[in-house]
Amino acid sequence: MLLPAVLLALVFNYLPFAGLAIAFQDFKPWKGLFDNTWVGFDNFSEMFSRPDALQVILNTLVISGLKIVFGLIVPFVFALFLNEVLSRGLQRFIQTLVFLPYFISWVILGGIMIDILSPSGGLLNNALGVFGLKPIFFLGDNNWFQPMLIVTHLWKEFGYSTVIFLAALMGISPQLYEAAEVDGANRVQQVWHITIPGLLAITIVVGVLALSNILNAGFDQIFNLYNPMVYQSGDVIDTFVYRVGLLSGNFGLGTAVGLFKSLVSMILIIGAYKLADRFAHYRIF
Amino acid sequence: MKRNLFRGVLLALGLLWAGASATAQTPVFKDGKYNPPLTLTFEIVQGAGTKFKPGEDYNNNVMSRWALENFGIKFQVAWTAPTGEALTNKLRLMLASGEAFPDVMRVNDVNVTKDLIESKKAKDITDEFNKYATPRLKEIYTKYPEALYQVKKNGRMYGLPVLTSGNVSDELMWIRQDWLDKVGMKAPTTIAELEKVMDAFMTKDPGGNGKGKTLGVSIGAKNALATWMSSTGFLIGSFGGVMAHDNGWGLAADGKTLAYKAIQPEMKKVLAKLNEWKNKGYIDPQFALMDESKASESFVQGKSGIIFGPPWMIEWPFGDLKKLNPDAQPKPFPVPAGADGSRGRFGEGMTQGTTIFSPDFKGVEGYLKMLDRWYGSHVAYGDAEFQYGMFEGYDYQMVDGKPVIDSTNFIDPSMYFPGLENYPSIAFIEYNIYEYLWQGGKPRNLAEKTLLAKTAPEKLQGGAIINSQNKYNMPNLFSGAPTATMSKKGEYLRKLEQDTFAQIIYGSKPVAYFDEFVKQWKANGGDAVTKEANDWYKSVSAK
Repeated sequence: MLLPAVLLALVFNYLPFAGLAIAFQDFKPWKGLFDNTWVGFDNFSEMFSRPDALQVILNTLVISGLKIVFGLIVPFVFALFLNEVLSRGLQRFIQTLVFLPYFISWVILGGIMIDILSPSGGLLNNALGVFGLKPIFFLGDNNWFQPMLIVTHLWKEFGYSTVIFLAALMGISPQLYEAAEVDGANRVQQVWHITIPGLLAITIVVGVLALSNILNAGFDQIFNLYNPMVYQSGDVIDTFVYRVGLLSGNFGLGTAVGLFKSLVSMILIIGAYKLADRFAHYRIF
Repeated sequence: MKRNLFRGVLLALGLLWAGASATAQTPVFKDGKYNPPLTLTFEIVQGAGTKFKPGEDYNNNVMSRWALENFGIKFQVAWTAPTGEALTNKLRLMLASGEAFPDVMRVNDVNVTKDLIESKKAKDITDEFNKYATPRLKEIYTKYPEALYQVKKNGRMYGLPVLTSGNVSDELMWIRQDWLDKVGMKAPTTIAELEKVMDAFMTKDPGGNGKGKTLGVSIGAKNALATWMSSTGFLIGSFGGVMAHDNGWGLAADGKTLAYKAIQPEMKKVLAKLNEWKNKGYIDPQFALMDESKASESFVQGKSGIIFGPPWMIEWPFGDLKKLNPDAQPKPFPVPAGADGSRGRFGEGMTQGTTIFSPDFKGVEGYLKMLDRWYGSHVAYGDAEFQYGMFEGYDYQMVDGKPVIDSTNFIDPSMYFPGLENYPSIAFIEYNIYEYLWQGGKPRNLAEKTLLAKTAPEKLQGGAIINSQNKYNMPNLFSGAPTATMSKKGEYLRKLEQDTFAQIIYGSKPVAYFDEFVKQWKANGGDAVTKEANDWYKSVSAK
């Protein structure tokens, strides 16, 4: 009975591993996997000899690191506040409202964001203009680009995690609150001693799951928002692979970067998992 | 899932068709026609500018009926892409996945052309070209050897270049004459005068846009500084030196070797000037993100009075300008000169891609014959069939026995032509005729008479200006397939260049940083690329 599942996993998850050979070849697609010239670690040395290699890796880590941190804090706090809203109807309404942007694709959202953040007649800059501030080129300025990535990412995604946290909040036994009230704990003390500890486990799960994405800074988003002016702050591993591997046809180099990324990701995930186990005694497996 | 289903259906249909056609005879080209008709599959860019009459599509339109009737060639579109870039990506993916290619391909990208030839996905048409191409076609395609560099390998021909007219999309200066009259100024002939006019347009606001809402000049630099519309080539040219695109190759001072434009000292002055213009508000703060069409919008909307681009802009995109403001009078002028009298303009070069045939394609003979007849619509020949234009009711209408262009109902059937997707073009002929006619020359044949009758005077004048200034043309002199280092390091060098230019123009790095950029460019592959480009140049110019 297990055979079909094993077979499927083998075909779709493990067979493609053979493609990793491309990372060690000067790959020309029409020659097939076996007839291409083997170049050893040339593609890797090429990758690290590029003066911008370090910057691209750093950009990736900073952007996705900040996304993970704020992606935990914001929905956590928001869920806490939303939980205090008494009207169930209003609660549901807000929940739906913040969840909605999650379903819009970045291709569409990218266009909208570029319009809103435009320095010539964009909504945000017009608003700033009312206060006498000079227009800021948010998506063309290396100081602003990363914060804009984080903010727009949060706005789009935080509804999703909020729903998870809210579900966990529902799961906390009402008896605990009743007992606390009997003991004379006020609202803030109840949140501090019951709600937050009750959410800790799910926070760690969400956090560890997010860590597996630490080297995915969000290709869809960055690809639709970045431009040559912000390569310094916005070029990440995935956009780099897209330009080098696909657009310039350097499949070998592109695959080498991808392989490097996967290896680092794996180490990070194992590390994060061990940390979660040690400090929160939480094990997924 | 959906795609798989679709593929399955296609496969089933294909099997059915194969079964049916096995019994039918193979098409033979006899008496100028295929019998039974030969199906020609092709890919094509279906961009925003591609229009169809109601009920027509790529498989059934005035052009496909013409081809079927005259040559027994049945057009069948394999797939379309919304932009040239998307088409290139799709071809690249097909190369990687080993999918079957259409019979006739229009390829925009030199890398893809090179890969197709290398992977033996491009048909060697040398013998067929020699045997079946008419004397007319042979002259057009072999007159300028540089046009064939991309499709030639070891002396064999692996496709046709998509020729340009040599200068039809070269750059001149468009100014709103009505604005000039309002501010009481003359058209600028130097960059210094140009700056005065931009100042006047911005401060005196002849367009009535309100204070601070007018731009000095509409330029877009997303793809390149010197480009086919909304160009900044005039500014690069005004500083003299190596004449080429910003990301292309020109002749070095010795007149013999190639030099990369973007690292020349003149480029430093160009960046300093653009930085100054940016700070003064002459150019849109987002100009680095705008492509050619996007940047032209500000001119069309009356938010700027100056734009640099080719003479045909009077038809598109200026058609909309006249709709928005019937009083608008865009007029063409030569590109302004720099402080030392230097001038230069974007030059479109000899080719704009290639036509590649699949190795299994059996219809090269018919395609060449069809192409030859289609070339009859070029003004240089003006064959009787096309004496008034391409097809009545599409690119021209007959009113009282005279051909007129109705710009609102204008449909360009040449966009449907497989593998070409454009007018048939011949280098340096069209604007030569324009100049002759603009200077009052009597039409020498019916085609010229028609041309004179239906061409906007501004376009005629613009063509004359371009043709009289062909010496300022600065095309990219490297037109071969990318060299080894270009393939490997090209992406990084381009990123370095774009990044540096943006930083300097937007002021986050000082102009002096340019010298550091040149050093880095050379150290990280630039020197190797220069050497390879020159090796190539020597090999082709020796012949």
